[in-house]
Amino acid sequence: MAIYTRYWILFIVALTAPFHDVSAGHDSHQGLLVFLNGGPVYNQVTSEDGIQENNFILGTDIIYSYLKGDFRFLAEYILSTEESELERFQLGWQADEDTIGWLGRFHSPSRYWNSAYHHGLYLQTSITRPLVEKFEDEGGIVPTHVSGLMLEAMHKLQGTAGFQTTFSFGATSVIGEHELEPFDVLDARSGHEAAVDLRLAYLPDQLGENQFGLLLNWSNMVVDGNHIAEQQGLESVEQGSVGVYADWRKQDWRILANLTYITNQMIKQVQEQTDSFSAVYIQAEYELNQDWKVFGRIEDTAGADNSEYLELFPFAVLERQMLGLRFDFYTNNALTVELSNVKLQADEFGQAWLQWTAVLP
Amino acid sequence: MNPVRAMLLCCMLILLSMEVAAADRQVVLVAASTSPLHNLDSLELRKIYLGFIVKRDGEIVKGLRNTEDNNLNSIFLQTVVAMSEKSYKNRLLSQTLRQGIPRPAEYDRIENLSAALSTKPYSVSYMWKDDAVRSSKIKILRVLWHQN
Repeated sequence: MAIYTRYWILFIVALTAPFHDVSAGHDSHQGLLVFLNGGPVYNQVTSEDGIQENNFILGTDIIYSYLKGDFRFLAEYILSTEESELERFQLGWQADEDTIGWLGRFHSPSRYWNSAYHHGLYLQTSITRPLVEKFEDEGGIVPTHVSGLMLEAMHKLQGTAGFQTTFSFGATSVIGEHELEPFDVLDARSGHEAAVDLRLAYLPDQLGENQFGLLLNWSNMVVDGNHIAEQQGLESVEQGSVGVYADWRKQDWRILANLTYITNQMIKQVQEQTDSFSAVYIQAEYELNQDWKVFGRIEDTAGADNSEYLELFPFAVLERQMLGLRFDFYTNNALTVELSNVKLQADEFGQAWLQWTAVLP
Repeated sequence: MNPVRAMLLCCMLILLSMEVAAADRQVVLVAASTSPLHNLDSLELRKIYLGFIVKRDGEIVKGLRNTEDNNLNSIFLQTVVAMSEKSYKNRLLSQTLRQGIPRPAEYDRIENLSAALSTKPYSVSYMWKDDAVRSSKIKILRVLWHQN
């Protein structure tokens, strides 16, 4: 049922929305963006590791937006060789120039990377995402989708500076059979508990992209069919996270960094247990010229060895050292190559990615 | 008069008139002549073209892009948004992706742009002053750039 609904939505959007940004009457406006990506990934592993050696990923991410007066609608649908999912479905109301409220399914505001790029791979420089920024179905260890209410407000400070507050409350993920499973508006089931997210950001230029800030999240995740969790006698996890981040550009350089402390209250059949760990990453990007960009990222996780929570995710990348190169060509096309050394809980290997990305129109 | 001297004089006059014409070149911010908009400051204009919300009388002010010629586009990028073409394009994509705000509509013919402004009273655009003066449907809000 759900899969047919998904394809019907895609079909209807494709039929009704033209392939350009168009004006739809004097006070309304709609737009359609299609992000495309494709390319191989090679993992330097042996067949006993349980990890696929070669894979080829193809994907498309469709964003439809509609604006009429103070009303806004935004939908993001991803269709790829790995998944088919309605990622975002948001109805918005612009209260004033600097405040907007959203109702629906959206990306958790306490994950900065996701709030900046969502699934638009063309816009992010690297191919891979750091551990705390990964989506649930890509091996993520923290919830990245919320279904509920979100409020975004910009407070003007002296000069051009601004202070941005984003708050959300809604249904979070459950700990599913193989991964965290967010609330799916097309396949709604009970069992999803609450999450609260808050992002506080300082922007020296409120119209710019440079910023640093604080990220807070609390989520209550119920176990729903996860074998490892059942072996642990785990019923639910109350997870809290506190993070700081910075996204800073200066001349040809850009630094994107995040440090997150995560604590998990593991609620078991007979007892409760707390474990915690920290994840950090720093990504540096340098523009050689208008078309070429070189970048690298270091990721690390402290306290992972003692975390029962992380045992639920045996393929989580706990450490990564990565270098990459991106080439922008033609209009809205890019080719990226990325070489990494990655470390999981029980394995360490090399990884190579090649990816073409584009955006239409 | 010596024909060579006359020709040189003509050339000098033509060059001088071209110089005067070039020195008068201005890019202006425009709206429909019936528009209730009076003026927008530089910050508001930058907000509009970067996909942020600016309101007048409770209505959202929209920016329409004039892509008729490359010089005008360069002046717009330099004067209004202060970004390279590539950075600006990526910023607009980000705004659509993050906020669901569609990118500004683009017009590569001045007639179409004038017609669009006429039907959208809370919209603004930019054009060469000569073009704005010629059209009765358009009013000039202010000068954005003038050639030194």
